[in-house]
Amino acid sequence: MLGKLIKLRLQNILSRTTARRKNGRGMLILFALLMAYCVGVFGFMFYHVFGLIAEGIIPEYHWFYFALVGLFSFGISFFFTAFTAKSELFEATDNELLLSMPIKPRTILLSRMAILLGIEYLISLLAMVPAGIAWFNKTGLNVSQLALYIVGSAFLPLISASVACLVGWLLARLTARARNKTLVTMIFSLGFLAIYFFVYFNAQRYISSLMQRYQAVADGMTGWGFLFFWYGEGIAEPNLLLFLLVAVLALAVFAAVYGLLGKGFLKVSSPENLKKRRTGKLELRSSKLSSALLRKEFKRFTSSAIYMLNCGMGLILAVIAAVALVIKADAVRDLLALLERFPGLALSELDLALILALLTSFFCSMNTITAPSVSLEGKNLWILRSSPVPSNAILAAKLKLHELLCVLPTLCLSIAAGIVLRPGAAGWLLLLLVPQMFVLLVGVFGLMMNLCFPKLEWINEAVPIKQSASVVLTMLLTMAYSLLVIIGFVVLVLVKEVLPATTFLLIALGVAAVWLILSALWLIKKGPRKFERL
Amino acid sequence: MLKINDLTKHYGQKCAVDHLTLHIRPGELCAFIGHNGAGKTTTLKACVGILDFDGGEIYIDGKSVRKEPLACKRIIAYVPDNPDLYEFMTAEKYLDFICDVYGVGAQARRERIEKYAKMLELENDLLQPIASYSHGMKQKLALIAALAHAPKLLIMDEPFVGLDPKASHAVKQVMHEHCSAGGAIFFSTHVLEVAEKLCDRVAIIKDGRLVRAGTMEEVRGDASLEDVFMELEDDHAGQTD
Repeated sequence: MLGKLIKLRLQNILSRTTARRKNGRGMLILFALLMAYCVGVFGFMFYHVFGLIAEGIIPEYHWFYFALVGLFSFGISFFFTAFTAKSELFEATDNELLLSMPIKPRTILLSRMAILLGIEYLISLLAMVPAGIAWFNKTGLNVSQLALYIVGSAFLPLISASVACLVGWLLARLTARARNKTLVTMIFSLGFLAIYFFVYFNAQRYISSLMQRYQAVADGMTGWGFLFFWYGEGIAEPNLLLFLLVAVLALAVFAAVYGLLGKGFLKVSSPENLKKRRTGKLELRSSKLSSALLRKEFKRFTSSAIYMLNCGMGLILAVIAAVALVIKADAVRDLLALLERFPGLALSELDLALILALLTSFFCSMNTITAPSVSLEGKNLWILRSSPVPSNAILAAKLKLHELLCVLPTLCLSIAAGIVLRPGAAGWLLLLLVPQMFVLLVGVFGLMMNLCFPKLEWINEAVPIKQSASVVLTMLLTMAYSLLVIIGFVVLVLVKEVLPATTFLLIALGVAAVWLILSALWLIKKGPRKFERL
Repeated sequence: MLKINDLTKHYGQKCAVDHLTLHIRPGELCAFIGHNGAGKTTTLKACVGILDFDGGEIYIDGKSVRKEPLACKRIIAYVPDNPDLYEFMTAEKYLDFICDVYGVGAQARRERIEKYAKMLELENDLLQPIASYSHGMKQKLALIAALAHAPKLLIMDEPFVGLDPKASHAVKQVMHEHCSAGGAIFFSTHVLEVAEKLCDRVAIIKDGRLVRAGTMEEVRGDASLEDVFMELEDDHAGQTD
């Protein structure tokens, strides 16, 4: 039964990419390419970071390298699965169906934990493989070390999966008791994200500090991080006893968490409705069709923490970036002044405004509110389809919500960039208009992508929001544009001096404008028909 | 009110609805019966305009579903077999949304919602989130939403599934009232007794083909509807063998 449940879940995950048969193969290729790109980028980054660490470690502390790799792998796999754990384990809509069948709740739980463990393995491999290559490149191949390193990669994710499951369980219990589930999830998620960004932005400092005094850190690790010490020592020496201890401990932790969660799985998966009954008189209000549709979209967005966090993250980040820009205005000005040192690079005030405007556009890529909006209609699609609502009005409401939510934070960022740059009227105009054009582009393109790659049959709303082609493509392609502009500027303008800065920036702006126009034309001409054929 | 002319719909190689022709007049309550997979839901969805069809034409009050879909949708209401409603809304907000979509005025929406909510005993639950509703409550809410804009034609897919006897009785009362006021109802059901007692007309579909249609008396003659239905099924089984 366990095998069948895992197979069922895997089929569901696979069908997320191949649901539409005629596009199935193409989508698989596209996903494979995107995955290869992500693996390549992360692999390259981790290889270099761990290569640097490997270079600086003396033989007595070789264990510390493996301990550090283990700790890092644990950290990233835990971070990326903690919230998935909550939805994967306790919020799948087929939970009630499966629980009603003669299947032990523990078997259902184990199948869900196994899938989560699989995800943990994939994420941890992202760090373990490049870190392993970096190490053996530096020290030469040691067969026993390599064998233990490979086997060890199988044990550590058991611990991170266990901790992620525990966090997911705690969150599920807390949200089940809370009156406003969305708010609780939002607070936890934002707290989690704050920690992530704190670590991310200080990573360089941490690595430098670590390399300067790694012996002291390593000595300390033998106490608080004994598990990773055993793991590192077990591989580096190699010390089979310590290594076996890690393996036994990892299995024991996994089994203990499985035992603990199994006891309350039924209760957490189908919580009682603790919401207080609202009483009072009916408050019916009539409004225009467009307002009703917009209100419905707004309610859909704000009722789902997972939707807000995954598709509206740029809203929060744009405001944070705006505040940071104003506080660090002098430092940013100094940074921009560096550009003037490039020989032959005469940047006008307008060029600088355009550079900042294009950079602020990067934040817009994180607001993919429209990208899962059609898929999120899911089983409710019949309501709109059977109503006398023109399809273009439905799509317009989705786009309008995106605009309404994104305009203000982006404006804040534009104003902050203006405060830094202090441009003239034309510069201000560029700073204010270009990011707004990008807001519109992401909204229109996201909606277009969702109409091309809809995913209406889902059992967990995380599927259309986090794992659908439309969201991934919208985010990656719009981010790729921003990155290409930066790379293009550095290569073509600063290094090769093939193009004058103004020409390059105008071409970049033109590409975005053409992209927007083409997407908008597609949406107007083909969008409604596509929606009607869903 | 509803004219289905030569309707044909294929799913790949399978013919789900095969040249089906059926007319329903104002004031008529027509039951649509057939075995599982006979093509009932496909026909109903095509009438509502949420499923494209390969051949034939459907007219609602003289307007083509294909050519004037919005005009048709304005005068019909649909209650699906599984009422998946917006669970992120309360029933009150959902009804408000539906009324806004159909442009129902403030006074009319209050009167109709209060009236049907009372009839279906849902008036004390309208302020609760739909997520907390049972299947039967959702079914009732879907029906109130359907009636809130006073449609001329009501299309319902298995409206009695999941309802308790009292609610079923109330729904039958609502259906009678709707037809007495000049509206028409076309609904699918598996419960032959309901069809027999409730309807003026009945249409029997088998493997996508309309095998019998007419007034209840015409279709069943001296036998019961169940006997007629079983006889038709046996004929079908014999032909298949």
